[in-house]
Amino acid sequence: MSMWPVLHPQSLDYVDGEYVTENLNESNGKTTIRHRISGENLVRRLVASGQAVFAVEIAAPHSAYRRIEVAEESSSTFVAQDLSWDQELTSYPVFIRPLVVFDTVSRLEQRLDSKRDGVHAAWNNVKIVLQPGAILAHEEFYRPSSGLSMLRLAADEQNVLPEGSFKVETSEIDGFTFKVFMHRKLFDDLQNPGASSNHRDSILTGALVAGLATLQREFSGDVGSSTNWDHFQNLRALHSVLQKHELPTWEEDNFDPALAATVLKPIVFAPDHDDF
Amino acid sequence: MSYQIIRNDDLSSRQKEMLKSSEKLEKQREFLQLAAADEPSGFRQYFLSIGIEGSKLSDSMPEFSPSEFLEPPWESELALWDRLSTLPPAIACLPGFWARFCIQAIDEERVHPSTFAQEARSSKDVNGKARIRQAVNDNDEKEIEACVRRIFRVMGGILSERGYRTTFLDCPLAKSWWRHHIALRSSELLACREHIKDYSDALRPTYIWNTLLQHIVSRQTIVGFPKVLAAIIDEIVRLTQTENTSEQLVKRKLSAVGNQCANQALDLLDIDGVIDTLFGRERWLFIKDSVN
Repeated sequence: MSMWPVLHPQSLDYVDGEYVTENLNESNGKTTIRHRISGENLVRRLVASGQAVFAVEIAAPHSAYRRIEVAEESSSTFVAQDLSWDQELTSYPVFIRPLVVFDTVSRLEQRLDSKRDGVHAAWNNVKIVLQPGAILAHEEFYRPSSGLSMLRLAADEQNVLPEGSFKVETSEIDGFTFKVFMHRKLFDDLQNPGASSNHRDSILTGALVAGLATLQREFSGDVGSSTNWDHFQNLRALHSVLQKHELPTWEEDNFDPALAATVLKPIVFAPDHDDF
Repeated sequence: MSYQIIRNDDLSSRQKEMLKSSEKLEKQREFLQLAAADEPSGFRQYFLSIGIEGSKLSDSMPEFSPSEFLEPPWESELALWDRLSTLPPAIACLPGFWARFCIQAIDEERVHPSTFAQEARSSKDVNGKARIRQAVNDNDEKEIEACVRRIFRVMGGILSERGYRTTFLDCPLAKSWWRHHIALRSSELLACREHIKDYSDALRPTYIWNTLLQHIVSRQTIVGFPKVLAAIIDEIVRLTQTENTSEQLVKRKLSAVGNQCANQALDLLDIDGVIDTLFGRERWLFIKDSVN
């Protein structure tokens, strides 16, 4: 238990209200984060009175970059915060975590009232001390976490693949990705699938099966003790996503790449019955 | 204009081919023969054929002896920084940059490729060339692979084995650059540029560097925030000067800091506030107690 209640998706500290954010238009070192806090609770009250502010933590761990940027607008419970980061300082992947932060100068002592402050009964009548910079609410880090976002499509520039085929290789770049090399025509068609977007998605699910099978070969423990998937953020995220779905992970004997891929990206099959 | 690098992805594929394929022994022997040859053009070509991105070449590497190259002392660290002070961190973390820098040093006859196979603390009798020749002549598969790994690591690292930490941990030049970058940034944040050498020295012990890197690059704990890191390095210097420090103490202290302050946006406080929060009397006693 934290020294003060924290509002976030995995916490039971608050029973009234939520902190919701959206990551809009992320590209080329900039994005906009939309913060919204609702309900009758301590965090919302502190934000509305200007004693707490919305902020965003930006992390690019590969290049040892980390900072927190505070939203300019204060005393509002709905704020859109524009963000940018210097691409010379930040190696991909860049992780973003929205926060609500208490005043950075003074401290606040308060006895909690579960009704007034919207906290769980366990916090009722508990005296808390909010330190300068206390994080009152946070979201999870925005980061690639579904296996599908790890796919990187590329045309087969050397023209060695037969028409309609693809092959998948793992890549340690960008936090670990699956590189899908496709025959040029297939690659071009997938860029503009038109009405065949379900078909496109099924092909990508197939590529994900192949990527996960490669992962199983490379990290199942039979290629030398020095190889460790845990070094890669994307794989740590994917590992926890599989666990959340209660699926075996690639270190386990019963890991099934096809099952994992189709749970992460279910195949949508919409047969056309007009002929019948 | 961006710095020249050997394409990271292709470099990683080439390393995997060399270290994991079924024909790896033959490939490794050929590679080591290129590294030990008196004329290094074959070795140079091996790396350049992987593919180059960017156009800007770095300034020449300083004149380093093999031992300076493999473990740069303070003066060498300064000389390297002098050449690469404007290198962007987003490039300095890439194995492909350091591999290109090493090839450039070979071109300028500042280093011979066989040096990369030498262990940092080996005696003069076992230089890189002798090590390679012995491994190849004895057909010692384990030692052949160890030499190949050592060369790749010294030249920037092996991404498939340690992720991006490899550059910070395995490549002596990159390690020296990052140590100086962090020491300089910390001394500026603490407004004491004159202590930069103390901060750099504090980061030299392998256990301190490895532990910090685990927090900064592999995990996203609060240690990665520049002000927090500066305060911790300052504390390590103080500890080293006033009492015995140890691997256990540093590790416990870092996890105590991570656990106790995980819910504080310390980056938004001024540096005195960070130090007070991390090492104020009450907290410091708690941390000491948790070690004893």
